[in-house]
Amino acid sequence: MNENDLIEIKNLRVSFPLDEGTVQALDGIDLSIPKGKVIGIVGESGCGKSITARSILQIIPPPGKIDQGEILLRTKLGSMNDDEHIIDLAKLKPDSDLLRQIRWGEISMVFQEPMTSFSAYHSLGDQIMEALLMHKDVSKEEARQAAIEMLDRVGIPNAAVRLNQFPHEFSGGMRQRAMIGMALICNPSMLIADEPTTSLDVTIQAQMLDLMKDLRRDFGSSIMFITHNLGVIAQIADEVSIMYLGKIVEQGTTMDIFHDQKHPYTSSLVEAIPKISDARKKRLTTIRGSVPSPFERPSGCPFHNRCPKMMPGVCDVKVPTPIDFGNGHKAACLLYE
Amino acid sequence: MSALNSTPPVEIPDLEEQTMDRAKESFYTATQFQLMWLKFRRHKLAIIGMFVLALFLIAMLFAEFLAPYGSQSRDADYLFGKPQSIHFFDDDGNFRGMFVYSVISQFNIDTMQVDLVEDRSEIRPVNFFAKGEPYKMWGLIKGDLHLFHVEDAFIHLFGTDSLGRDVYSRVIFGTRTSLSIGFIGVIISFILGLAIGGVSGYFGGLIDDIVQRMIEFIRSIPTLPLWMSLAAILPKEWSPLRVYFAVTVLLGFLSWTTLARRVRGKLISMREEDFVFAARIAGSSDARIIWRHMIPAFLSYIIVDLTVSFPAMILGETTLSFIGLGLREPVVSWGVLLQASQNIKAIEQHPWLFFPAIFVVISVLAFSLVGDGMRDAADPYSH
Amino acid sequence: MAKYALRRFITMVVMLVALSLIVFVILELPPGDFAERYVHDLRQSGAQVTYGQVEYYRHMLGLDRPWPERYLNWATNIVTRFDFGWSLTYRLPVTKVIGDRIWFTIILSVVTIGASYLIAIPLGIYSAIKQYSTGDYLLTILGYLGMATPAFLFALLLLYVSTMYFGTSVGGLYSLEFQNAPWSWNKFIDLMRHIWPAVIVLGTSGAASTLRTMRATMLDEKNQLYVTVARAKGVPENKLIQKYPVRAALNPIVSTIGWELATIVSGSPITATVLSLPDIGPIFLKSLTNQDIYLSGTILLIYSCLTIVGTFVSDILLAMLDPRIRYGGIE
Repeated sequence: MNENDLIEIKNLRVSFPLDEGTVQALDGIDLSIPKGKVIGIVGESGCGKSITARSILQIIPPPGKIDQGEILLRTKLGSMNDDEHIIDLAKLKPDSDLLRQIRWGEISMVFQEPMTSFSAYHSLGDQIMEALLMHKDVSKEEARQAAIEMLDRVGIPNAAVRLNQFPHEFSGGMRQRAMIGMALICNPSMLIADEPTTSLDVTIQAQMLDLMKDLRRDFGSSIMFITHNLGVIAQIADEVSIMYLGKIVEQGTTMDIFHDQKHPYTSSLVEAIPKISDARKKRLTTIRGSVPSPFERPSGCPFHNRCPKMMPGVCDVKVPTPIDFGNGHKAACLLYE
Repeated sequence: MSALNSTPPVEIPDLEEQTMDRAKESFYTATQFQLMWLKFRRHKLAIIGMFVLALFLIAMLFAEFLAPYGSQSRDADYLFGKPQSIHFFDDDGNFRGMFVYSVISQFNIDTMQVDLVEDRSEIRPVNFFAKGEPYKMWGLIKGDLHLFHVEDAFIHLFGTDSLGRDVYSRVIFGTRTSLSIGFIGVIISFILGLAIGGVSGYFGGLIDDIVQRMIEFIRSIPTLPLWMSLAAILPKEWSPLRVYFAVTVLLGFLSWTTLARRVRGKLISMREEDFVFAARIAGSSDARIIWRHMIPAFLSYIIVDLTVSFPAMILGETTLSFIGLGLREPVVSWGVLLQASQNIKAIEQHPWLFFPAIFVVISVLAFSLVGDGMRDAADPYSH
Repeated sequence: MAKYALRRFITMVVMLVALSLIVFVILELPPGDFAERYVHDLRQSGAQVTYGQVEYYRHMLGLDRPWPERYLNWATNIVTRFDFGWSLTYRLPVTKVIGDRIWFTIILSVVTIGASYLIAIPLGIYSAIKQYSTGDYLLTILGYLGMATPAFLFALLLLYVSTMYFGTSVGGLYSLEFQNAPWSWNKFIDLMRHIWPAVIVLGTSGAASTLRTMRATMLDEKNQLYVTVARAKGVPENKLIQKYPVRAALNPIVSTIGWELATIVSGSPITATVLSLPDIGPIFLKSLTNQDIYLSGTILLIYSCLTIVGTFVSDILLAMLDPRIRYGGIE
């Protein structure tokens, strides 16, 4: 494991045994998250972005389970002499004390749906303070003060009053701010943001991104930013991984991804971004077809049946392996083999 | 310029052919009811319930054929008779097919009482699809074919009652009455629920308010005492048939509230739905929107509610008749039959008079299971 | 909150008034009026009654007035003098006939509802958490059976089993020495000792449906995002279940206490008759078969009042539980 990496995921495989058949949600993911960096994970719905994130905290919805692979975390938690050591999260039992300490203590998460992320029956303050009281040795009053400061920090006015209010009294944007506040309250070393802006309107989205950028500067946490929106990635991420059907097809710096894509899927995604400079009458480029049914993974390269550069007899037979283009830029495409 | 900017015509391969096989295609194009069926099939208990209900339906339709005797036919020599045992082997251990012994009265000198004992001297074979007591199917079609029949003797699978009437036959006829009350009652509540709920949801505003308060009000009156009170004021001189219809109407008239709420709720939420909006922009008339788009979208829920309301009807009828406020002889229903086992003495001495109870419980159980399976299936796209 | 409670209270009063109207209509529906029946009754007991006397009674009782006036009279008598009318069967004022019996009905209903919740809620939680376990299947089957068995059948079965196998009857509510004794602590204890068969019979179907509701909502809530968030926060599983999904799943239960009570009250006349309990059930049945209208009307009124008050209580409880109502967010 690299010195600078906070998390390293190795060959992670997650499957969902369902009545209709088994869905291979993650098919061998390799991903590392360096300290203090923002890693963007991009892909269409159902490609396994959220499952990757949830695997780290072991909160995959049932009946999903980790079949194979390691999720290595560099942490001081659970170590005898308060030194940093490496723990394989995938080996921890979901109800073990150590995993519970790591949840929110080291890694916290902001979810896509601010409207349902909070329980309607408990005040926002109760739910935020709960996180702090669970992980830090503080009194209720201290927790309350910290929660007020945090709400203030994420831009909720009149925080001392708002703390006692219930989720239905907040707008979606405000709830997501509170959620981000709750995620940062234990000062975690990593924040997972699972499409945190998708369900908000565009102006709020922009505010939320600004907020995240500020917080990243102030708190110095690593951020795993999951989205299907390349535009958002361009604004916030240092490095990007492109996912397709449970595999990472290309990863590299944001620069690489936007200006020197190797994988045809990445190219299609980038081309599909509408540009103001384009002439008026040009139709939006789309990727033909749609993501195949999870029960019927295509043979060979999973993208071959939608790929504009498909090589018959090659792509539908051989499974591509990642090729290194230097400087951490990798792509799994048979064009280069 | 335009030649450069316009994307060259890309040859789009027939994706349907490439990626979808037949089965998958049928999944994507399945109608809602096909999807519901796919989902319903997974509930084993619901399938069993469905099967049981089918049996009940057959019993209801062909009661005359399934019952060896009429509901009022008497076997005067066999009062309060125990269920007869079915035999396959005679006293010498020879296989003789399915048969019964006839029962004779014997004076017991020790107890000074008349005992009913099997006459082992003669074997009475059970004939299937045999001619027996003549009947008129549904009072219309003459016939005398029965599922099973015993020549020159009686067969009482569930024993007999105080007048020597065959309990099994009466239970079969009771099935017809009790289930038909359920059906008619459900139809009445369906019409009322659809109409009142529809008006409430369609007009909204004050009318909606009034209807909603009315529904809340009706629901807060305990059903059974209200049924009892209303059943009690039916004039005593009414004929049993008239009482039958009155009780049915009564049950139907008080159970429409659930359905009305459902219809109203769905109409209101659907008025705002995108697909209704889309249909409206596309120029569909109100009637077409309601008929083509809204009703199919919640028809499944309505069917579920109807299935679920069946048991309440059956239990209502049974209870009312049991306490003597509902149906009366010569109409035969499960409740009427259970009147005979109203106290503990009767059950102690003639436990077989309790047979109709099993039918009540099984039918209610079957309806609940099917209803639950359908409730799950009604939302075919949910997990 | 106070405003909400007040509004609910007013609704309740309006409903009670509407209810009394309905009961009045039911009283008025049968052919003939009370005077005729009273006179008929007197004649049957051998008294000589002339036609003039019928008219006299009719006038005395105000039965020759138009019905709105009669309704007002009837209602006024109830409110001001607590006079519910005259029972023909018992030849006593209705209030005398009902007397103490109403307390049994109330105690029985309250004990039953309490017991059914105490049993059904934890079992429902268990069933949802251990979904598809043997225990869950067993409870599901029991739940279905409980809902499918009509109360009177259940009561008969219980009687049958107790007489056949235990040699004692479970009917009645008191030991002999307390039968006619005035109310005392000992009598109350004795009542509690005898009340359980009735509680089982009356409570089973309600408990079964509570169990199923609890299980279903728990399963729903268990997979909600906020539960996952709490899990991601590192909240221990036991604490998490109690604090979040259980809390949410209690709502539909609490909000239907009124209907639950209605179900229990609904079953009580028949159960009470079969188990021969000294509550208002048996006299309700008797009054119905005898067309003793004032008595049956009053009891119907009592039954309905119980459930309307129950609905009011559950509305208030729900408001206390649900912040969205407590702070006047939604109706």
